[in-house]
Amino acid sequence: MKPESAVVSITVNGTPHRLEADTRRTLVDLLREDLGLTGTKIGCGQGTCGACTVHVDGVRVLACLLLAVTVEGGQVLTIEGLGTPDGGLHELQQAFIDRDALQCGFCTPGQIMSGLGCIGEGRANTAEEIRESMSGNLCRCAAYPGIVAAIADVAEGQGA
Amino acid sequence: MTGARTPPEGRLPRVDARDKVTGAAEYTYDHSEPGQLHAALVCATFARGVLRDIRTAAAEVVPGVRLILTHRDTRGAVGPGLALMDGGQFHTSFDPLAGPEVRYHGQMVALVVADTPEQAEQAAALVELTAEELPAQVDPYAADEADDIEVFALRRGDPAGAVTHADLVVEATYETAAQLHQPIEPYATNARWSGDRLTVWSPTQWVVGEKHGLAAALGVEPDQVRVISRHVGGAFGGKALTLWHTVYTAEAARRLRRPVRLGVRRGQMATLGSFRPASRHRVRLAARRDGTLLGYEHACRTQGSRSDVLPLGGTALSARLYRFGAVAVREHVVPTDVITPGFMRAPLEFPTSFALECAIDELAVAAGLDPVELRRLNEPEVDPVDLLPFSGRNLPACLDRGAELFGWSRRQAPVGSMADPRTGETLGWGVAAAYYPGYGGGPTFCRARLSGDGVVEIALAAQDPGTGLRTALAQLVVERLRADPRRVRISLGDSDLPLAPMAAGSCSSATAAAAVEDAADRLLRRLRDLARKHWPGQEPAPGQAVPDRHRIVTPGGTSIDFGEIARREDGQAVTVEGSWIPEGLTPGMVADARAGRFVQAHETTPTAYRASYGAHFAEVGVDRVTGRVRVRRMVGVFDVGRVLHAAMLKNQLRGGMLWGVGHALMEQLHVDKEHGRFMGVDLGSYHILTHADAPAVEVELVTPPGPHADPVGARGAGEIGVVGSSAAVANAVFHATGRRIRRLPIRAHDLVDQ
Repeated sequence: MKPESAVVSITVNGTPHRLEADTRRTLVDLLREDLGLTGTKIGCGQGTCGACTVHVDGVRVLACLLLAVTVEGGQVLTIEGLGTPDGGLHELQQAFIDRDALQCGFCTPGQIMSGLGCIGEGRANTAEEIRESMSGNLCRCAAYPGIVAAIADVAEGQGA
Repeated sequence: MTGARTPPEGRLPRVDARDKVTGAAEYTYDHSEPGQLHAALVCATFARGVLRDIRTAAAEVVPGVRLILTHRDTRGAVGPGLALMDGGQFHTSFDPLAGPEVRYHGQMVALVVADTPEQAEQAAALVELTAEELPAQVDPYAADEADDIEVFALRRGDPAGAVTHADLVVEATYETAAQLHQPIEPYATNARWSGDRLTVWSPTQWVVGEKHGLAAALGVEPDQVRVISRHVGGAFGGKALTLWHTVYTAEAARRLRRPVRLGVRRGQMATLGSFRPASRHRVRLAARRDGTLLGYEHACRTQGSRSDVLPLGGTALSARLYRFGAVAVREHVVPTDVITPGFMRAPLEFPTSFALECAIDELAVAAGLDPVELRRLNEPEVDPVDLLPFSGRNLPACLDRGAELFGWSRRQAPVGSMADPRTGETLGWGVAAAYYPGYGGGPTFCRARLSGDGVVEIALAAQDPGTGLRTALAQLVVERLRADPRRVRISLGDSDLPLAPMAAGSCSSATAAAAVEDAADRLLRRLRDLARKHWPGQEPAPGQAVPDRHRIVTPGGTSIDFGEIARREDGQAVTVEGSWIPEGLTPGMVADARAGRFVQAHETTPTAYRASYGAHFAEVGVDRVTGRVRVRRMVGVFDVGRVLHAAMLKNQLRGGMLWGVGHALMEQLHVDKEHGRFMGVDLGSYHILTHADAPAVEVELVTPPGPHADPVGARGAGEIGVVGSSAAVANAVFHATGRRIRRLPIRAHDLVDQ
C-alpha cells in the first residue's frame, strides 16, 4: 500500500496554513508534528479520554478521531490559542490555577478546551450539569472537584 | 490577564500550573529532536509459546521504514536488566527481546522505526508472527496452589487458639481485582545519542534509577547517560521502574545514529509495564462479646508472574492497625502467565486494607456496635508487632473529626433504614480506617544557587509527577528565606542534578524537603557572612541579620537584596549544597543509592513505629431495582504529619479517595480464559471514574507533629487516600442493602435478585 498525501488548508489559532499531509494523519498529529503545537495531548488515540479536545469551527471535537484532511477549510482553536496576545491567561485558565484543578496536568488542556465548550453550549448551569457534560474528559489524578469548580466560576462570571 | 487571586489556603499556587494550563509544559512525547525518527511496537498476539518465525518482508518495504528490531537482531547487544527486587532498576528481569520465548499475551516482540509515526504503525501492523503456542494460565484462582510461593509470614501469640474462647468470630474471603494505573499520559520514550553519550526523555518517577538501568542494559557507563523527566502525566507507581521498550528505543537510536521517539498506544500499556495484581484474602477475627479483639488471622494470595517474585501482601502493616491480641498472617504469590505485576498506588495497603476494614465492619455488625466505636475500642497503646511506641498515631482523632464532619451521629444503624425520598435511593453510610507506613525516604542532596539577578534556584534529581513537590519546595524556600516567590525556581526531573530518590512510598516530598531545608539554611548563613564581608560598616552580630522579602536586613537597618549580595561576589553566583540522610541509613547504603540502587529507610526505627492514619466516611445511594450504586459524598480526615502545602496535599488525598471509589465500583481487568490474556485494557473498556461518577469529597487534616518524625516531619499523602476508601464504600453498600459484597468491584448484579 502506497501512502498518499493531500494538501490541506486549515486555520489554527487565527493563522492560516497550507500543508501537505499524509492522508492517514490525524488532526492531533498535524497540530503536534507539523505545527509544533504540543499543548494538545494524545492520551488514547481512540476518542475515549478527551485529552486531545480542540475546537473546530467553534465546536469541541476529539482531534485524535479526525483525519486532518477532513478538516479542510476549518477554523481550529487549541490551548495555545487561548489567552491574550501579550501572554495573559484566559479566565478559564486562571480559574484552573485558582482552584488547583489539576495535578499532573496532562489532561488539563483538553479539560480547559472542553470546559469552554461546556460553557459556550450553555451546559454549565449546575455542578451536576457540568459533570455530565464534561464526562468525556478523564482525569486519572481525579482532580474533578476542582475542574468543576473552575468551570462553574467562569460560567457564573459570564452570567450563564 | 486576570490578576493572581488569593491561592487556596493562602499559600503559593501550584508553581507549574501556568505551564500546564497553557500547554507549555513539556512531557516526553512533546519533545522533538531534529532528524527524529518514529517507533512503533509489535506485541505478541498469543499468550505463551516460542516464536518460530517473525516475517518482516511486508513491513520492510513500507516507505520510510528504517529498522525492525526483533530478538534475532538484539541478542548480545543488550545486557540483562536487574529487577528492583534483585537490586536493580527494572520492572521485570524478563527481557522480552532476549530470545524467541513469549511468556504473556501482548509481550513486546519487535520495534519498528520509520520516518513518520504513520509509517511505523503501518509497518508494525504488517509484521507476521508464527509460533508454537503453549497453554497459559492468567486466572490466579484457577492456578494450582501447589505452585504458590510463600513470601511472608508473621505470628504474635496464638490467634487460632483465641478463636476457641472467643464470643464472636468473623471469617470471610475477600477479593480485589487486577487493575491498571491508566495514567492519561501513555508510556513514551525519546532517545538521542551524541557520540557515545545518551540522553533519554522518559516519563519516570526515578530519573536516577532509569539512568543506571539504561546504562547497565546498553553496556555504557552511567556517566554517559542522562535522563530527563520534567513533567510526568500521571504515574501512580506505573512509571517507577525501567521498562524494556525504553531500552530498545535507545538501542534503535544507537543503531540508526538518529534520535528516535516511541509513543506507546493505550492498548499496549497493560503488557509493557506494571499492573495491580488480583488478590484473595482469607481473614478471621476473634473477639469478645463487647468487641474487644482477641485474634487476627489473614492469609492472602496475590497474583504474580513466572519471571519475578514480588511480595505485595501488606499484612505486616495491617497487623499493626489495632490491638488485635494475637496475630498470624501469611502471604503467597501465585505465578501466572502475565507480565510481572508491580507497584500501584498503595500497592501493599490497598488490597489488605479492603479485606481487614470490611472484616472489622462485619465484626461491628456481629457485636451490635457502631463501627467507629469498635475501632476506637481496639486502639493500641503500642505497635502490636514490635511493641514500639507510635510516632504520632492519631487514628481516634481522625475518626472523631470525620464522624463530626460527616454527621455520623445521625446514622440509623438498621440496614436499609435510610433513604433519599427525592431520588428513591436507599442510602448507606460506611466508615473505614486508613493507614500508610511512614517510610523514611532515601539519601537526598540538593543544590541552592543564588545568581546575580537574585534568582534562587533549587535543583535536585527528584520528580513531580503531579504530586505538587515543586510547589511544596518553593513554599518551603519562600518561608525559610523570606524569599520573593517570583525569584524562586525549583529544578527537578533531570539525572544530572544532585542525587534524590524515586517518587515513591509517599516519602519523597518529606525527604526532598529535608534536603532543601538544609540547603536554604546554609544559603542564608552564607548570605549573612557575605553581607558582613561586603558591608563591613553594617557588620551584624552573627545570627542577627534577618531575611525579609528577598533581602538581608542588618542590625544597622541596611536592607540588601539577595541579588546584590551575589553580585558583590566575583562569581556572580553563590552556590551551596544541602543534604538529608535518613536515620538508619549507613554510608554503604548511601553509596548504593549513588550507584542507582533503591534505598529507602524503614517505617520502623529503633525507637518508634512511624505511620500516617486517616478515616474515610462514605454515603452511597443504591437503586434497589437496577442495583446501581452511586457514591454521593465522602469525608476523609488524615494525619500525615507536618503539612508543607495544604492545597497540594488535599488535592492528592481527594484524588486517592476517588481512586478508592473507582476501585470499589468499576475498575477491573477481565480475564479472557480462552486466549489466556487480560481483555478490555484500553480506556473504552477499563472504566475509571469520570466527572459524572465523582462525588463531593471533603478532606481535612489533623496535624499534631509526631515526636519521632524527621526534621521536616511530613509523611506524604500520595497513597493513604486510596487505603480504606473502597472498604468504606463496600461497608456503606452493606448498610444500604444488607448485602456483604466481598469482591471488588461491586457490580449491579451483586445487588439485585436474579
